[in-house]
Amino acid sequence: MTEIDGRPEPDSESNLAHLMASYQAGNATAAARLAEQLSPRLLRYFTAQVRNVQEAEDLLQDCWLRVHKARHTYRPGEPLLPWIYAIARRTRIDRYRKVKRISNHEVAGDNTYDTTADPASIAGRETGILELLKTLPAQQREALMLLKVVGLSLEEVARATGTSVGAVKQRAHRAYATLRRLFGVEQ
Amino acid sequence: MNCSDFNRHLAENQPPSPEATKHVETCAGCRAMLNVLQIQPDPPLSPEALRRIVDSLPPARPVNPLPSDRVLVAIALVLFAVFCLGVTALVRFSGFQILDAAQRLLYYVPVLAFSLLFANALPGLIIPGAKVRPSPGILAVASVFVIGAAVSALFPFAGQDQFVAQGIPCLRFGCLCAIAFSVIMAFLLRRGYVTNRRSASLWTACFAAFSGIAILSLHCPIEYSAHIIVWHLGVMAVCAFAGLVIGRVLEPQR
Repeated sequence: MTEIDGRPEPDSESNLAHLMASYQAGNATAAARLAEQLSPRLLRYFTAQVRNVQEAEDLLQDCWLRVHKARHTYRPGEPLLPWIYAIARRTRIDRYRKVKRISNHEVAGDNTYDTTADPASIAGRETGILELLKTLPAQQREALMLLKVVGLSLEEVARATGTSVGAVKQRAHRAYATLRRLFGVEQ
Repeated sequence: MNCSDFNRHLAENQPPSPEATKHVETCAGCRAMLNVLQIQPDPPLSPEALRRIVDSLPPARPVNPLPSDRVLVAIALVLFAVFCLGVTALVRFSGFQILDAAQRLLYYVPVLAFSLLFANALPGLIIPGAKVRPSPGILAVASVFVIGAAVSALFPFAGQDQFVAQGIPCLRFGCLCAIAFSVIMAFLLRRGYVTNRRSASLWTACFAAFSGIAILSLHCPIEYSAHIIVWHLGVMAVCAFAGLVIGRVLEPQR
């Protein structure tokens, strides 16, 4: 069994890949450590897509169950973040379809982001960028979210969303243009 | 650099160039947009929420990672070959036997090549975040064009009687073979984790259609390109349409 250093480890790609490999080997501590390190950024991803933090946390929990189920598909040595976000994206799509079946309305660009659960020191900033993102069309929002907020590279976003690098660039370009219009800035 | 150029520069996701930096210094709008887009620290997750997530996970038993891409592709190819040859063995290799060596080369090399291309798309469908492979739709269209061109060069265009009466059984047989092969491929897909059901559905349908086309090329003794293009390659059109419809049903919206 792979040993896990008890001290806090830097959140680097290689460290995450190492944890994932240990998780595949059956190490429960690695699974918990992976959840601890990746959950905040996954929560941010989900929060930008749904109406409130509670729904985002439900998506996060569902996502980790899917990660557990699909853990055999991760290839040791490959980048982990595109793999995780591809599953997160699938979780989000399935939840959207389920909600749409249950409820007959979907509020596009819904800005009813619930800030009450967020720490006061971050709430203002979080509200700004996430509210802006929610006003974008879904594909543009996703591209910008993964590039600018999550911090993935173009190649990683392309892999996570199942598209090409060119398509990601185009979506990002359109997102910036849309944001610019929202700011009321002439080009 | 103007704002549109700056947009393009941002979309490239590269470190800021001197021109971009200078533009931001002089453009209030771009500066305002950048300020909002700055990456902030991730919001903390409450210990209770994290504990709930960890407690909800089933026991972390060891799993064997999926085999390498080459092995996965090889498995798909072997299944394709065994299925095609096995079914053809049941109905006879009438088509293969009447061709000479040069005709076999020109006809079956494209069939083998496209079967490899279709199989090569499998890892991208069952591994989340895998590198994007050529779209199954593009492969389907390309295979129809290439094999259509090959048979047009090999065989006379028309000349048989009862074009429709002899064609329908081929189309039906090809589609039935495709249905059977798609069931096998569905089991293979389940071995992984599909994140794009539309692509997976289209790939399954097109690869299965191709198995029908391959079987027909080995079995059907009618050597007219019009017959092959319409009734054999027509299997791809029928199955691809079915794959698109099924994909839309499985995933109405993305």
